Formats: sequence, C-alpha cells, structure tokens
Amino acid sequence: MYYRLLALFLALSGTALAQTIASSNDGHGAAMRFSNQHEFAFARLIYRGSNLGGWGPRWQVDWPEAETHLLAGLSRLTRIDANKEGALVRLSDDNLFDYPWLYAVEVGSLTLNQYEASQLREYLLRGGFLMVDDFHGPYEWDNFAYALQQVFPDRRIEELTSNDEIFHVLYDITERTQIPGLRPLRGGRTWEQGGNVPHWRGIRDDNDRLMVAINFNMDLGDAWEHADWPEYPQPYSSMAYRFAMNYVIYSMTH
Amino acid sequence: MFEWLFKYPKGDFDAGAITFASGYPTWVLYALIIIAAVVLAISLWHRRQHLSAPRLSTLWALQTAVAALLLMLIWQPALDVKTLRAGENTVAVLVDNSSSMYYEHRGENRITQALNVITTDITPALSDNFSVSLATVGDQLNLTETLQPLPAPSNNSNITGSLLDALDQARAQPLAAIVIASDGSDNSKAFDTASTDTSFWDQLAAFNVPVHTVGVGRTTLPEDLEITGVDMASTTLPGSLEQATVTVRHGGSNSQNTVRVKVYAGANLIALQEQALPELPGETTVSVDVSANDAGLQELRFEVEATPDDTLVQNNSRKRLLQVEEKQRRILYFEGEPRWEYKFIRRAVAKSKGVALVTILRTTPNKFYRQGIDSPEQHANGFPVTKAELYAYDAVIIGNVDAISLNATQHQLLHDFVSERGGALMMLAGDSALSDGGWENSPLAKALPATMQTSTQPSYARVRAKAVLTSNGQHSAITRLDPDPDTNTLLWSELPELADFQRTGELKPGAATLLDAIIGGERMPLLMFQPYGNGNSYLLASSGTWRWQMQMPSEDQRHEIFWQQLLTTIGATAPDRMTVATDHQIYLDNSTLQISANLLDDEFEPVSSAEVTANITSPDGSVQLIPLEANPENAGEFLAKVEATATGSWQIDINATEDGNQVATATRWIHREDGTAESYALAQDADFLKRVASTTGGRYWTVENANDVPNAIKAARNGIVRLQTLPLWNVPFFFLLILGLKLVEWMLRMIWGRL
Repeated sequence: MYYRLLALFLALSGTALAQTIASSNDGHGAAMRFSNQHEFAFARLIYRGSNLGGWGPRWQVDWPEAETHLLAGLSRLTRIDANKEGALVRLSDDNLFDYPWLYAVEVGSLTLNQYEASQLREYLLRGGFLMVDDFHGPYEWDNFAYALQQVFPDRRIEELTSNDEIFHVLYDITERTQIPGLRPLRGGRTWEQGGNVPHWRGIRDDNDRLMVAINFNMDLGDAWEHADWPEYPQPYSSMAYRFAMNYVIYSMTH
Repeated sequence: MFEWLFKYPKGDFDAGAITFASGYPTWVLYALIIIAAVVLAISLWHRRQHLSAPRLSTLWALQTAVAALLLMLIWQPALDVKTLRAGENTVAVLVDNSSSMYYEHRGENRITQALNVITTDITPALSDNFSVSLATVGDQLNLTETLQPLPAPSNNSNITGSLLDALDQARAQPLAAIVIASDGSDNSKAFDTASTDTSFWDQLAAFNVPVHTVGVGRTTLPEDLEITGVDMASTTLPGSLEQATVTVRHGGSNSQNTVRVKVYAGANLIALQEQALPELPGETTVSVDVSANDAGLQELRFEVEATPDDTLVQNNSRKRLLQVEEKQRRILYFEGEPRWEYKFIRRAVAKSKGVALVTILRTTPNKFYRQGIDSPEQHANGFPVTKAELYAYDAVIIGNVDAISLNATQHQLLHDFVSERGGALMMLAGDSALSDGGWENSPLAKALPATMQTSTQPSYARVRAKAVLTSNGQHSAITRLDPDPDTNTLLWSELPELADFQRTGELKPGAATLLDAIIGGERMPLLMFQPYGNGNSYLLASSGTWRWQMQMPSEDQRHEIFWQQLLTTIGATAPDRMTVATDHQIYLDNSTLQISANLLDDEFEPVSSAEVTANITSPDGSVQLIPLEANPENAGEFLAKVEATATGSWQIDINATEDGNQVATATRWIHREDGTAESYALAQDADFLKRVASTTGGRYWTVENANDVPNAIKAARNGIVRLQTLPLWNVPFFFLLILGLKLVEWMLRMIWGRL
C-alpha cells in the first residue's frame, strides 16, 4: 500500500515537474517541451469520490498496471506512438486539454461539482474522448448517470449495438462478452453487484460521433491489469485489449 | 539647312552611297593627295627659320586639306540613291474613327487633331510622290475616298485587325508605307499588348511594310478615374470568401486622397473597401473580399466613386461573373499512424461542403483504416499505385509516413501528381515525416517548398510552437480568420501553441511562407508553399494544430476555419478532367465567342476521340446546341465559334461523351454588353503604337512632329524605285569648306606676321 502511495506521489509530482521545466538542447533551442513526448498518452481521471476500503481512492483502482499492460499491447499491436506510462489528470488541471483520451474507473462513485461538470462537458465538446469502466449494478449506474446528467443535461445515453463503428474500427468485435473483474471471477461469477448483463453504452456529439464509451457491468481494467496472471483467463484479457484498442483508435479517428 | 549645304535631303545621304563619277582610278587620287602633301611639306620646310615647327605643321595641314579637297572634286564625288517613282507607289493613310477618338480635352477632341495632321501635314506632302489611299479604323477597316465627313464613330477599335487587313489588301500593289493616326487603344478580341502570343507581331513584320504611327491624345489622364482591371476567380464554392484585386487608374493624391471601391451584386452593395492613394498618378490595386452566395451565378459590379473632375464615369465600373458551384474538391489524406491531428483535421472539414476528404490510416503494420471512401474495395491495399486512382484527387496530404512505406512507383506517382496532373501536395510534420522519415531521397523532395534538414539531430520535436502570420499570410485566403486584417492578426495571436514542430532546411527560391513558428524565441517557417510543375506543393511543419481545437472553447471555430480554407484552397487549383474557357468573360461590343474545351482521360492524357457539344443558353432562355470540333493542332482541345448577339449573361454547358457515355461536363458563363468598350483605356497607348512602328521598320510620331512623316516615307524608298546618281562636286558645303580653310590659314599668317 505504501509503495503504491509513494509511486503515486512520484507520478503526480513528476508530471507537474516535467510540465514546467522540460526543455531540450537537441536543435530546438530553448524550446519548452511537452511533458508527454508521445502521440498517445493514457490519461486517467482523478476525481472526487469514496474510497474503496483499504485500496485507496476509487479512481486509482488497477493503477498503474492496467494502463502499463494495455499500453505495451497497444504499442506492440498498433502503429500508435504510445507513452509507456500513463498520465494522471484532474478535471481542474490546466493540462486536461492536452490529453484527448481520458479513462475513468469505478465511476459508480463519480462525483462532480458544477465546475468539474462544465470542464468535462467542454473537454468532450472540443473533441476529447472519455472511456469509463468498472462499475456495476443499478445503484452505481444511477450515480454515474446522475453525474453525466450534470455534464450533458440534454444528451441521452444510448445502447451501442454490435454494428457500431467503434466495434469495427480495428478489430471486428461481433460477439461481445462480459469482461469480469478478478474478485467475482474467483467467486465463479462474471458479474458483481447485481450487474448481470453487460452494457456497452455511449453519448454522441451533434455529428453522431461517440464522445463517451461506457462499459457498464464489466471490468476491462482488471482484465488489462491481470493479463499476466495465470489465474485470470486469457480470453477475457484478449477481449479487453481488443475493446480498448478499438476505443483508442476510434477516439483518434472520429 | 542640311539640304542647302548638301543640295539633297539628309534621308538621301542616309539611304544612299557616296561614289566618284569621273571614272578615274581612286588610287591615283590617293597618290596625288600624298604627293601634294609631300610637296607642301618641302615647301614649308624651307621657311623653318621664320616659323616654329608647330606653326609650320598647322599651315601644312590646312594647305594639304585644301589640296585634297580640290583633287577630290576633280574625281567628281556623287551620291548613288534609289528614288521612288512618282505616282507608282501607294501610301495607306488610316484614321482611327472609334468613339475614344472623340474624347474631348480643353475643347478639342482627338479625331480633330488626327484629321488636322493628316489633311494638312501628311497627305498633301505625300501626294507628289505617292498615290494615297484613305481608310478609317473602327471594328474593321473601311476604305474611303475622303475623310470628311467621317462615318459615325465605331464602338470598337480593331487596330490590329485593320492593319493586317490593310496590308493584306495591298499585296498586289506597291505599298510604300502605312500611316495610322490613333490613340492606340485596341480593344478588339483578345488582343493584349503584354500578351506572349507573338502571332500578330510576326504577321505584321512579315509584310515588310513600314507602319508610321501618329499618337493622338494624352498618354495620361489624371482627371479620369478608371477601373482598368478586376482579377478574381471565376468559380468558387458556396459561402466562400473570394479576394478580388481591383486595379484603379488615378491622378494621384493631389486629385483625391483615397479611393473607395464598391462591389454590388445586382442592386445590393456586398463589399466596400477604401484605400489611400499614392502621391503620383498611376495605377493602384485594391483588394476586396467578396462573399459567395449559394450555388448559382453571381453578377458582380465593381465601382469606384467618381470625383467632380471625372468627366467620364462609364469607366468607373466593371462587371465580373462569379460562378458559385456546389463542387467538392477530392482530397486524399494518407497517414502512417493514428494521430490526433488526423482526427481533428477530419472533424474540422466534416461539415465543409467544398471538401470530400478520403483518408487512409495505417493503424497496424498490416491494416489500413479508410474513411470517406466510395466502396469497401477502394484503397483496401493502402496508398494508390496507379495514375487513375491517384489522379482522381485534387490534392494529397501525406502525414507521418516514412518514405520507405511507399515504393518507387508510388513516389514517382506523387511527384507526377503535382508536376503533371497539376494537383496539390501537402506534407505534414512527424517523427517519420520529411527528413526524419527519409524523404530527402524521394523524387518528391524536388517538389517541396523547402529543402530538408540535413542535420543528424531529429528535426521533429514535441515542443511548444507559436504560429504567427507572415506578411504573405496576412493577405492569404488560407490564413484569413477574419476579413479585417487587424482582427485577423489578433485572432492568430490568441491561438494557443502548437503541439509540435519540425525544422526544415532552406526555403526554395519560388516558395512563400504564410505562417512562421516561434519556438524558444526563434522564428522559423511553419506553413509554406511553392508552385511546382503544373501544381503546387505545401509543407506544414507541424502536426499539432489539434491543440488549437482542444485548448480553445468548443464554440471557437478558428481551427475549423483554418483547415477548411487550407483544404479548399489547395484543392481548388487542380484542373478538372474537362475545362472550358472562352476568350473573354465579359464581351464588350464583341459578339463573337471563341469556346475551347480541354478533355483529359482518367490518367490526364488528352482525349480527342470524344464527342463534345455545347448547349448555349441565351439571356432570353433560348438554347442552341453547337458541336465543338477537335483541334488537330492540340490534342484534347475542342473549339467552337459562336455568335452571341443579345446582351446579358449566357450559359455555356459543355458535354463530352465517348461511345454514348457521358465522360465529363463543365459550365461556363459569359456576359455580353454593348456601347461600353470604348470607355476603357482612354489614354493614348503610346507603347502599343511604338511597338507597331518598331516591329515594321516605321516610326512613332506625335502630333507635333508628324509633319516629317512624308519625308521619312520618301527617304525610306519602300516600293517601286529607280537608281539615280546625284553629283556632289557642286554642293555648297565643299566650296565653303575650301574657303573656310583658306580663311583660317590667312588669319593665322596675319597673326603670326607671315603673310
């Protein structure tokens, strides 16, 4: 636990430090470099919300292995120039808009104030993309839906069908399966908190492009995080990687 | 004076050759002169005790000169000269009788001046030696017996055609010269003195008949304000902003401080631009932005406000037609890896009616994700490998693609796409683009507006780069975020920094930059372009404009406007498979339309086997079908000549078919109006008249010195001539010279006391 906190501290302070002092002498003079020196950075949203027992804040779940594992796969299987390390960002951060990809986990406890809601709305309307994951059951749905209602009072959350472009942009994912978390899987289930049926949902912009990809009643983060665990079934990890890669490619093309 | 001294006109001496008529050998003359010089020297040597050597030498020179002159006169010097046979040669005297010759200044018009010169100074003096034929010049040559009274003035000045006509008609008779009195304002057909078409001048010179031009009227008209030209695109897309360059002739800031150019669409004022005038009279260009409406024809009238002294206001306006077409420019964007720039370019132009963007994105080493395609098969294997596939596009964008991703054929195709097809190419920055991607060895490197950086350091970096307008960028339609220049500069200054930048090498000589990037205080080219072959190449040294979109409020449209304008502009310059042109867009007092259509196949090779027809719709709605004939001298070109008698706007729809299948269509509008041609270019075009004269071996004259025209024609001895030997021994000059020499000798002797 302490190691995780230390790593988190270093990651946060490192990001801020890099943002302010990075400079180079490689022929670009005293040019200020961006902290992210790759095209794609996996930005994880830090949000206010309840803690997950002794596991720390909910936004931190599966961090950092989930993204580091996924990003290794992303670099290996696609031509995306992806940063091997993920980034951490708050809705109030100045550099939020330098990360057009945003990942939020355990969003069943997502809480947004008015400013944060307007920031997220602006982020998405400008062209940012949000993937949410690992929340389950009607209670968490209602909480998440309420938060999104603050962001987009007039936009509806819709169910995505298998024909949607997001499931074909890289891999043709015609048969979608529920991706379970490790703990329910240990209990012999693919679901938790009453969320038996997986839902792939989304919110579109005025041009019918998805801005938010909602993975409800599933836990892709666990599947990425535990991809190297023999205990976690490889087909689920493989499918979770494919979903994620399609989301990333979609976010970079639409 | 010359003629008094030498008995004959100077022209005879210029054209003739001096000989000796006595028949004695000339070497004897030279020998006698030498002997005389020696005898005189010996004679003077004996007097050396009385005069110094320099004084004796002077006397010797004077006496020798007198002796030489006397000896030369014994040999009978003469002038061999050709003289015109009286009455056997013709001089054609032409008077410009177009409306512009009736323009009055201080109570006198040009035609009066011209007639005065001709009837007083020229024709009477020519009549002794020549048969004089008279003609007036209007829209054609009109032979006449007398110039008084003149026929009604013509609404056209066809000087070029009339001269060729006069020369052609005189083939059978000895034409010594043509004299034309004119203001030189030729508004016939497509004639342009600055034209590179030399056929007129070649024809004129081939007749070998001198044309003497008498320029009438002032070469500058400071009191008259005139729109001498309007330069703008004839076609555009709905809602586009087109820049018109209006050239205004003016009398300088002493006449007025500013000029206001107004643009009307019908009765509606749609644009207004005021500009300060320079101090000196001349021509000033005024740039006016004109907004295109919805699809259809926009009849525009450009107008400058008249000053109180402006006597002729008809030339203060000019018409132009703007065809607003729902036409999409096809642009192919090939991207080597998923990038944010790709996404945001697509989003920026998604709603642009003028751009059809097809994208090929290499998502994995073996997969291409395609958007905007017509069929699932299109570009399934990536970048096009045939001309037909690639040439279907008007512009190509190459993103972060390393050179090795394309084979040699594809590299050459891209090069030819710009140089031959006339397409536009734009390369974006990236860590696999330009020099970092090995493009310096591609044939395409020649086409780019800048060389590539040769340093071993990576040229690409994810650094903060601030885009700033260059002086070219301030006037470019690509970088115009607002029509007002100050607001435009402000809008650019507010934009956030780009996400990256790539250094390039030196700009090519023909390149221009629209945007610079400031990185760490250093300024470097960001958006540059150059014409290459038939097309254009662009280089955007960044792929980080997406930050403009993500960092600015969602309602801000600057990123969208920039990309829409950039892609629309780069796509607009590529020619279509079929283009249609007419010799004019606005026909002033000219009803003959020359239509030409150029047809190319899908590889942009000329097609001459097609059937090409024109549906011509007159202003009253009646339609006539005219076939166009293939031009045997120019493959792929089809021509037709049409009489458009009615005034108003005419629509020309060209249709090309092969084996009954339609292969291409194109539309062109023209406008006809009568009674206005002579209002423009009112000042005397002395340059044109001088060129006519110099091309033919004649001379340019003014009204003031035109009385010498007859002498010049006589001296030129063009026509039927006879050879005459004119004696020179008795010309007064020689006697006066001998007398003068002896007088000088006498005076010197008197001064030196040795008479």
